[in-house]
Parts: sequence; C-alpha cells; structure tokens
Amino acid sequence: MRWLRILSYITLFFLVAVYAEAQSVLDTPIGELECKGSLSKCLDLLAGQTNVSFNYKNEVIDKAKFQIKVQNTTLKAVLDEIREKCEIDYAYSNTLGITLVQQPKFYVLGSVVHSASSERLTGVNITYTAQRVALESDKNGLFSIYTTQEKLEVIAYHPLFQLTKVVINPSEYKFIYIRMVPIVTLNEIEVYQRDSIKLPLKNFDELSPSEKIVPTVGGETDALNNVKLLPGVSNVSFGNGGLVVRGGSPDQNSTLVDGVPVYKTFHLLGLFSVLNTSSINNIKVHKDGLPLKYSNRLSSVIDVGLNNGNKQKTSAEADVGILSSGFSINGPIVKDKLSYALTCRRTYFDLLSLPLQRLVDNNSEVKSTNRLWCFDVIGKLHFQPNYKNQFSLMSYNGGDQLNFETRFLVDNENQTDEQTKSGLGWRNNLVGFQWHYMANSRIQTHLELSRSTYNLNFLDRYSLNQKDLELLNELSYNNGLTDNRITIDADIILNKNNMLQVGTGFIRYAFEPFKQNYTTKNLVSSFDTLLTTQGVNASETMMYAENKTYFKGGNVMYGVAIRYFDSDTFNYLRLQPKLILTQNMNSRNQLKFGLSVVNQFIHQAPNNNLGLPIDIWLPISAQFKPMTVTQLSSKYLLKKTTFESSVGIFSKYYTNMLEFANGGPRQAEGNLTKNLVSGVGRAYGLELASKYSKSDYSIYTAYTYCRSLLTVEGINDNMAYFSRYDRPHEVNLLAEHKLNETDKLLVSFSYASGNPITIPSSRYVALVNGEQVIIEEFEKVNNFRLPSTHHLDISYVHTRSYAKFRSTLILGIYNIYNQHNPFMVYLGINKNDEPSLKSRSYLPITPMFKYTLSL
Amino acid sequence: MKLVAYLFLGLTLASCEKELSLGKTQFDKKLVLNCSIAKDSLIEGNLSESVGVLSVPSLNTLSGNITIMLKRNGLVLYNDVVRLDSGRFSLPYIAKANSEYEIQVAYSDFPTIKAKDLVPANSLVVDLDTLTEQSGSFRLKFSLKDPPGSHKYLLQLSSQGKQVVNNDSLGTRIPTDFSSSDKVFLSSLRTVILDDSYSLFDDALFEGQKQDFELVIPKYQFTSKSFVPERMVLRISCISENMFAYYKSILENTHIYGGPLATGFGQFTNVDQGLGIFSFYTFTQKEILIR
Repeated sequence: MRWLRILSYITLFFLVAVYAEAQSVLDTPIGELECKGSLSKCLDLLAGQTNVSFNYKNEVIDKAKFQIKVQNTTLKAVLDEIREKCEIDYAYSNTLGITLVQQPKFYVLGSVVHSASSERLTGVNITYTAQRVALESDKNGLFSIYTTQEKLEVIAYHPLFQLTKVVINPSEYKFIYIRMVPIVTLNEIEVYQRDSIKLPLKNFDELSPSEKIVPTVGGETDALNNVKLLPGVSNVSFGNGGLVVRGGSPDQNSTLVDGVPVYKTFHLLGLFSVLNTSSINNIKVHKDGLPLKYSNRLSSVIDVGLNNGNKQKTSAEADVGILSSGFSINGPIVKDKLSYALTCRRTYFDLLSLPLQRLVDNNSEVKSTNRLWCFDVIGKLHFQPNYKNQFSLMSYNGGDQLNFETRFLVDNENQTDEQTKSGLGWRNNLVGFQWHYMANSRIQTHLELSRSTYNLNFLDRYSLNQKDLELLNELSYNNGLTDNRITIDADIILNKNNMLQVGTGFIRYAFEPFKQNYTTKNLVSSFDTLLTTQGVNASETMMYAENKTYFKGGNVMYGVAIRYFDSDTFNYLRLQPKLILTQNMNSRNQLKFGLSVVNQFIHQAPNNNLGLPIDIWLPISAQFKPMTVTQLSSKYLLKKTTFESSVGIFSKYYTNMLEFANGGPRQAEGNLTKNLVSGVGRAYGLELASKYSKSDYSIYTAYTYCRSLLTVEGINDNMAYFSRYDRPHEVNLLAEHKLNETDKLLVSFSYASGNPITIPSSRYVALVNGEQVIIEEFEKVNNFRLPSTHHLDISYVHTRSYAKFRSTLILGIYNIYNQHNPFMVYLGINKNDEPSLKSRSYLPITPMFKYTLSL
Repeated sequence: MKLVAYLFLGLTLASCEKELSLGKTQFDKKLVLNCSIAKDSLIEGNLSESVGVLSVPSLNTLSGNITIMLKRNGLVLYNDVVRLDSGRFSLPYIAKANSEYEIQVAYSDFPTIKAKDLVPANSLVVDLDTLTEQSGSFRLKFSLKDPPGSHKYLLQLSSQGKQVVNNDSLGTRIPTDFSSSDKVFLSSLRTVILDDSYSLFDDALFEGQKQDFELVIPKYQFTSKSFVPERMVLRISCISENMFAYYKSILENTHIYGGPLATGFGQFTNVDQGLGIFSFYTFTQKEILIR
C-alpha cells in the first residue's frame, strides 16, 4: 500500500508538472500580433514569436481565414480566438507542442410543445450552452441550434410555462422534443434570471390571442382586436371593418390563415373579425420588411396560425355572449399522431330580435323580418406520423347576411299577397393543405396548396300576387374572386452563421365579372336580363431567396423576390429587394433598421354608387402599373425584467397608387375602372410602445403618429392631400390588475384622430325635371376631418377551475362614458331649420357579457 | 339573459345623431348656369351663384347686367350686355337643330364661364297606347320609334288636373312618380328600385327600332283631396350627352359622406369655370285622359 501511495504521488506530481508546463507554454506572453489572411500564415507568425510548434492536418487549416490584432496577450488567448472564429480546437503536449484539430459541428432541430395537448408553442425563448445568438421557436414551434459542444444543455423559457431544461448529446441526438408544463400546475417556481435571456432577433410582432384576453364590444374577445393595440395599426374609421397599417389602405394588408389568404377580414360594421380566438395559436404581424414569400401587399402581412388540436385528449369549449355564441372541440383521432380541431361561431341578433319584431307587427297587416347574422366555421386536421413529417388540412367558411323582408297579406277578394325581400351578404371560403418535411437537422421544406374564394351578393325583390295578377321585380348582383395558390419553399442552414430560405410559388386569380341580374314578370311581359362586366383571369409567379446572416449580437436579413404578374393583355415583372439589420447593443438594448420594396398587383374598389358597403377586387391593368412602396424603418428596443419599451420611425414612398376621380366606381355603366386615376403617395410616422408588468398588474401603452398623403393628377389641383387613412394620432392603453388567482380587472382606452372624408364645399340650385334641386359641389377630396373617436372600456374577468372543467366569465361596460363616435356624416337640418352637418353614431355605452366553459 | 340581450339590442341599434362644427371652410363662389333648352326655342336660362355648404342657395339672387357672348358653330351671334332679371336671362335667338352653341357669361367679379353643346336634330315619334287602372296603380303603355344612331332619352311624367286652393279650383300640373320593370331603364338603376317622376335611358337595346314601354304609376300619390288628376302628361326628350351625364350624376348622389354608406361624388358639369349645365334637347309630349 505504501508503494502504491508513493506511485500515486509520483503520478500526481508528474501530471501537475505536465499541466504546469502546458500552462506555462499557453501563458507565453505575446507582445504584439497582427495577422490577416490565411490561418496557416498566422500560425507561422505565432510559432516564430512563441517558439511553440503547431501540428495540424493541412485540410483543417488550408481554407481557414483568420484576422487578429492584439497587444500584450497570451498564446492561450490567441488560440481561444482561433477556436471561436475558425472552430479549430487545440491541445498541448510537451512532445508534439500544440495540436490543432477540427471541432465537431452539430446541427440540432428542436420542437416545443404543450405538455398536455402536444400543441406547438411559438415564441418560446431558447437558450443553450455557448449560445451565440438569441433564439425563439418559430410559428411551427421549431428551432435550430448549431453547436460544437459535445454536451448541450437547452433551456426553454416562456412566461406562461415552467422553465424546462433538456440535456442531450448532439452527436447522438439531432432532434430535441421539449414539452412545457403550464405555470398553473406548478407547485414550486424555479427562480430564473430573466435578464439573462438575450433579446430575440425578430422583425415582427407576435401575439397569442388565446393567452391574452382583451374584451371589446359585447364582451367579444376578438383575435384581430389585439392586433389593433399594436403601434402603427388602427381602424379604418369607427364602424368600418379593416385595418390601416402605417397609413395604408386595408387592401394593402395580407391576412393569411395557415398560409391561406383571407379577402374579407371583418364582419359587418367591423365589430369583430372573422377569426375566432379559440381557434388561433399565434398571430405574427409583419410591418417592416415583409416575408418575401408573401410580399404582394404593400403594408403588412398578418400571419395567423391555427391550433393543430389536442393530440393527447379531447377538449372542448363553449361560450355564450351578447353578440355571439361559439363552440369548439379538438382532440386526437390517433393519439400523438392525428388530431382535429373544429370551431363554430354565430351571432344571434336575428334570433333575439325576431320576437320583438313579431310583437311590433302584432296589430299590423304588414309583417316584417329583419335579420343580421354572421357565422364562422373553422376546421383543421393535423397529422404528424413522425417528427420529420407534418401534414395539415384546414377549411374555413364564414360570412355575413343582412336580410329585410316584409309581407302584406290581405284576405280580400283579390287575395293580395305583397312581399319584399332585400339581402346583402358575403362569404369567405378557404381550403388549405400544408406539408412540412424535415429532411435533416439542416433542411426543412414546406409545401402549401390553397384555395380562397370571396363572394358578395345583393338582392332586391318585390312581388305582388293577386287573384288575376302576378308581378315580380327582382334586382340582384354578385361579384367575387378566387385565389388558387401553390408554394414550395425550404429553410436551409448553410453554416453556423447563415440560414437561407428559398421558395417559389404560383397564384391564379379569377376575378368574377360583376353580374347584375334583373328579372321582371307581369301580365304584360316577362324578362330575365343579365348585365355583366368582363371577368379577368390573372396569374402571379414568384421566386425568392432570403438569407439570414448572424454575427456577434445580431443578424442581417437580406434577399430578393421576383414577381411576375400576367394577364391576357399585359404582364409585369418586378424585383423586390429587402434588407433588415438587427443588432443587440447589449442584453437590454436593440437597434433595428429595415429597407424594402414591395409591389401589389390587385386592389380593392372600396365604394360604389349604390351606397352599399361592398368590396370589389380588381387587378391592375395595362394602363395602371403595379403599386409600389419603398419603406425605410428603424426601431430601438429596450427590455428589462419588468419593463419593455420601443421607439420606431418609418417612411414610405408609394408610386402608382390608384384613386377614383369621383370617389367611387360607376358600376352602373358596367366599367368599374372608368374613373381610376393614379398618383404617388407618402406615409411617415413615429411608433412608441411600452409595457410594464409586475406580479399582479401590467400596463401597456402604444402611441402612433402617422401621416398618409397622396398626390394624384386631376385631384385637389394636383397638390398633395391627406388620404382617407390619415389618422395622425392614435393612443391605446390597456391596464390589467390581477385581483387574486381567479379575478382580474381590465381597463382599456382607445383614442384616434378622425380621418379625412369628402364633403361638399358649396351648394347650388339646379333645375331638374322642372323642380329646383339643391346640388352639392365637391371642390376638394378629403376636405373635412371627422372628429376624433375614443372610448373607455372596463371589464372584469373571473376564471374558476372545477374538477373537470374551467369557466371564464367576462362582465364589463363598453364605452363607459357614452362617447358618440361618428359613423357617417350627412347634411341635414338643425332645430332652427338651417342646413347643418350632422354625424350619426352607433355603439353607445353597452354591456359586456361572455361566459365560457372549457372542458 | 333575454332581458340583457334586448337591452343591448336597444342600445346598440339606437344610433345617435349629433351636429358637427364645420369650422371655417373656404370655397370659391362660382356662377351657376341652368340652361336646358329645347330645339326651336329661345336661348334662355338662369344664372345664379353657389353658396357655402351650410347656406341655402337660390335661383334668383343675382340681378344687374351680365355680358354674354353666344356663338353658333364657331361664329359669334351675340356679344353684348343682357339684363338679368331675378337670375333669368333671354337671348333673341332660336336653338337650331344640329348646331353647336357656345356661351360665355361674365358677371361682376366672377370668372367668366364658358360652355357649349350640340342641339339634337331628331324628331321623336311617340305613340300613347292605353292607360289602364289596376288595384293600387295605373298602367301607361306607349311606344317610341328610335331614330338611327345612338341617343339618350329623358322621360318625364306629370299629371294635369285641378288643385283646390281655398275653395278655388286651379288648373295645375304636378310631377308624377312611376316605376317600370322595363330593361331599358337599367342605365338608371334607381328608376328600377324606386319611384321617381323622371327617368333616363339610352337606346342601346333598341337602336333604330320601335320600343314598347309600360309604366306603373302608384295611385297613392293621387289620394290627396286637394288635387284631382284629369290627364297624364308624358314627355320624352332626346337629350344631349352632356345633359344625360348631368342628370345621371344627380340621380346617383346619395348625399352621405364618410362611413360605409358614402357615395361617389363629383357632380357633372359642362360649364368651364362654373357649375350647372348648358344643354339642348328635342321633345315630344303626349297626353291621355284619366277616366
């Protein structure tokens, strides 16, 4: 034993001596070293200065480039720099000197899912050993890690989930599956220093509507209502559906549901969007440098991802509210592999008002039925046979219908039966298929096939049936478009610093002709006439390549898309470059700069002479070139543990913007583009947002200053004028106070400047049919600004968990101080019988109520 | 639950009306010319001015001297001062068929206005068929022989009868509303949908041919005891393109500004530097007794 002990001491001494020698060699001081070019030359220089020999295989060193300029350092520091920059590791031995070997490279793909449902989780902050850049899971809940570490520790952080750590050996496992447990089920909370999480390098705003309840009119928790809270996003005007992003018209926004475009995003009067919150997994709002795959709208891309459905167990949710009721169910068909999700919603204005109408009509010979209803049905199947393949099939059907019907039935000798029916409605129909394939840990491919149709219809019918008389007059029109598209793209991790996205796609548009049908039947004649404009077919082909290069503390995204728009009589080819630079100054400060050029080939004619709220989509033409916007934007972001703030500015330059010279198309003449004129535009502004949150309360504020101008030949003396989407100031405030574990109080306030509209500047008398008729003259377009709109809403949310289900009750008051926000303006008479400009408003102080049961 | 729903419905649907301050709006006052002249009639019309949007305009506010230059087919017919009588003026010239007239009017500090139009040449052949009475309405049938070429028409209907005023019976004529299911009226959608006393149409569907029409005249407009209709007066005018565009833009204005119900705007005028219309037409008028 004694000899063994002595041997151990000798061995230890020997090892310490070797280590000490190695340390003494590695600590060899270097006075000054400047080297640029190939690594082998630098090593020769280093060997000359330190008298240390380097051993390596030529193929390891030959292609490596290295640059260094240091003073008063050590050999170890230089070798560490080589390891960092060239991924070449080193080892010392007293016989061989320093041996240089290639570090192993590993690419690991990860997926983050909810522990209970296997639903993908987006926006989860991923940190890992020797992390170089901030990382978040993408819209599919996936992330990629490049590492040279033999052992990798991955930490997933999301504010609503328990911190999750996974340790793997990348040489053996190329795929990490992280299941995150919601915080509500936690018994202990692990302390984690949130400031240590790097600022994510993303260039979009991300929302999870199902996680953030913001009740609005009637207690509805609308998905796109949360989008309106973002700086730079506002309503068209009070009571109008559609979003205005940075001064652009609503048709400049592309709303995609699982990659399928939606052409009508809001129901009548803009009360709520077509997207039911319970079906939505995440919403990404792109305003700076749109994703090149979808960059065919000028202002924004709103990318909505639907829930895949619970793959573990069936869950259901039902809600009842003042405006609408809904039901959703989702669950596994084959556990852990195939799931479904179904969501339905319907308003019931019509069902509730029917008894009232019957009561009113009780003593009247005329019976009337007025119906307004909206509905949405969303279904999805998601199949994941293995971690490499994911298939999904979604379908949406929804729309509005407004019907007025009267019936005058007299039991006399003539047996008179007089009926009228008027109807206005629209439908969205979407079908989409997606295949997501991970070839390996460096290549992912996506295939998307979709069909989106939008149709509107109008009907006005009068019929009179008597003993000897049958009379029918009917006017109806319909219009719409179909969008069929296929895209295929791939995400390729080229190396540790570069991620390339390439793709191609084809869109086929079929613009239906504007059909007006007139039917008349009477004793004298009978005819059925169809007046129709010419239908147009067009196609859009695109290819794009977009690379993301990472560098220390930041990345730069650059790329170009080529879009070719083709119709029977014209075609256009456009290049769309894009550059976004994101740089983290430190762990709390980030700077972002973006430059992009985007084209748009289809547009919306928003008005018409029948004065009805219909949307007609039209393509650009041989006469009018594609609309183009060049946008410059920059943003500063400050993020602390409890406080987050951002300041951004943007400037947009538009060309080939289309306007109607007389405010709307002359559809009665059968030519919807007759009065179109084109011009240039400009939009610029400032966006501020801040968020402060503590354990039991949070405050979010957003302010936008935005100007939007147009200059169109023949309008307003060819001078620049404010577009109807110019709302200079907008403020949104949302305060949330958690009263206890089950109750919280929300206060939201919205303010927006009024937008310009066109009103007459003078009046005169015209002799029409021998009578004096007062005619209004419109000298200037958008010459009157509506009063600002604002409302304060207070709501109380109570959640309660039972053994088998959970309930959420929303009670509140919308527009608590009963502000009369203008909806439309007209010239009327005041109490002194004098002409007066009047506004009509709706949605005064109204209650909120919504009760949801979740199984 | 129902109570809450009804309360909500009531509150939501009861929209509120509010007066808006227009602030200081500036506009350029313009001269308004109202000259729609029949073929072979004196060239005369009315001159007025536009007023602010919250003022009440009138046809007869202007008076004094105006300077008028009238040209026919480019040749000056008249260039002198004319007396304006409560807005009305008259020139000693007859509008001749197939002639293009140009008028220039200067008044006070207003910019000189200028307009021109062509006098249609056609004589219209209109045959009244029958006026029948049915429950709730009269039916008026007539035919129109369209001359060769493209034409625009204005159809006006009125009723002539006795108006009782303070026990006196006065002969009077009032515009009479009608509707029609005839497809030729489709160029003016509102005629199909709503009752009106005049309508526009063109001959795209019956160019150069004879066309039969039927008008439905609701009886409710004759229920007033103070007016007893005796004759129905049908007047069909072949109007110039300018006059057609002018009347059509008046029909299409819904007078709502802002909001989803807003209309298109831009009242047509062929008066340069001014407003209104300077146009010509030919017409045929027929009467039929109401039995």
